[in-house]
Amino acid sequence: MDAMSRLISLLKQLPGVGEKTATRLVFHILSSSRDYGHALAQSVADVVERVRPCKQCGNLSETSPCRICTDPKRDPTVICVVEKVQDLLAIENTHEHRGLYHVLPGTLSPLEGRGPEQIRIHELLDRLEKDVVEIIVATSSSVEGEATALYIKKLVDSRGIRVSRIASGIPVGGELEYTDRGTIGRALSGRREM
Amino acid sequence: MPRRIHTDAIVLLRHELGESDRIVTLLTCDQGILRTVAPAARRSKRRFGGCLELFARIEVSLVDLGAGKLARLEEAVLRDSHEAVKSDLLAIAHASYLTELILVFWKERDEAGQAHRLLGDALSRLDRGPMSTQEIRRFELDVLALAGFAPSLDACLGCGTNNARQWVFDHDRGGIVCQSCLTQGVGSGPRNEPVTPSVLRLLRELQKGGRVSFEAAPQTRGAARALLGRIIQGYAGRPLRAREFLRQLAGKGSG
Repeated sequence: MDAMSRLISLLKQLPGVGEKTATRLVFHILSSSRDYGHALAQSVADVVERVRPCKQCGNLSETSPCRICTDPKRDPTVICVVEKVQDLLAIENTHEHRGLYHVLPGTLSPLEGRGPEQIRIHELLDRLEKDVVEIIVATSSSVEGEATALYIKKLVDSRGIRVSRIASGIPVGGELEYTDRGTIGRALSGRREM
Repeated sequence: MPRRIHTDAIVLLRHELGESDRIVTLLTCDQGILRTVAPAARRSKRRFGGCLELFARIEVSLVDLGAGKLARLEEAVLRDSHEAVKSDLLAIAHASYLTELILVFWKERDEAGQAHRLLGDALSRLDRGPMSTQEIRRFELDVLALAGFAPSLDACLGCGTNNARQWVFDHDRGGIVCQSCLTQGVGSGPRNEPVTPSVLRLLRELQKGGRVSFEAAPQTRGAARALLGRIIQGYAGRPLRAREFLRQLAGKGSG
């Protein structure tokens, strides 16, 4: 296989990239400057070589502990638990959470045989030995996400640490008319006083 | 020939497919278990909203493309999301176990109307909180009976007596054998195990469906759970994942 075909077949393995897109990307790389091509290749190599999960929180980072875990401006007494690194990034982009994170990764799933040992729940418990006062469980609102949140609450309850759950309901800008029953029901049961 | 179907269903499983789709396994009331693809279910919440959550009872419109192919989910309306189940970890674990039992004993497109009713009733029951161990055992026995694997517990498979002091359960033959038949070689295969009279009494009463007339000791309940677990595992050919989860979750007494 020649170099171009090999690159096309490798790019095709990326999510959302088919034969046509992969071919277009390769032609774009070839029509760009040589420096761009080398920088792209080097960048991919750097990501593969340098990025690792943070030993403390599970975030992907070039350092361990990661930049968030070592930031002195962050509040180490509040830990936000997320399913995956992408969720951590989504929360970071809101600038609403100034505490630390814990990436599980994944959720408990009795039907798929994913129990507490398959996700990093016990590592979370180890972190609670330090002065943590609140855990924010930001897992998804699926059955698996709820099961994970309930399990964490069950483990942490006896330690006198506050466990909170992110709210779920009508999205910002959403219209009730087009919202499904389950979501409206949740929004109503989770309503708060104004 | 594609067939348009409108039916009631319970969501048994869901998996991600590609970038934005979802594969949803449904237990329908009249078409058995169907594997369906819900296009763009992960990207857009408008079309299916929270309808495709595990254990949800939904009304679906789908296009069946025939055996061996995924049906295409066109529309789903939520009838019962079983929100209360989702707020209790043990209830989630129980619902998962009951769901896995259905998945073990019914294959795609098998007639499963009664299984649909059984699971639907059990999920409604779980809205009120986790089940007792007896309720779980009864569900297991009901599933075995509906699937045609009801253990024979009334009388000895060898001589037909229902009155003996010692019994064994013969897993190969799916029923009990009395001690005297056992000494004559009936049910003496490698896969048999002793069953105490109290365990047998408990399982018989649960199998009949009425109220259990006595307070079974914890050892009796534990032995009944273990025996039924081995019977089910024998048919499934593997340990049930949700059962292992239940064990991890609460140890003894979790069902």
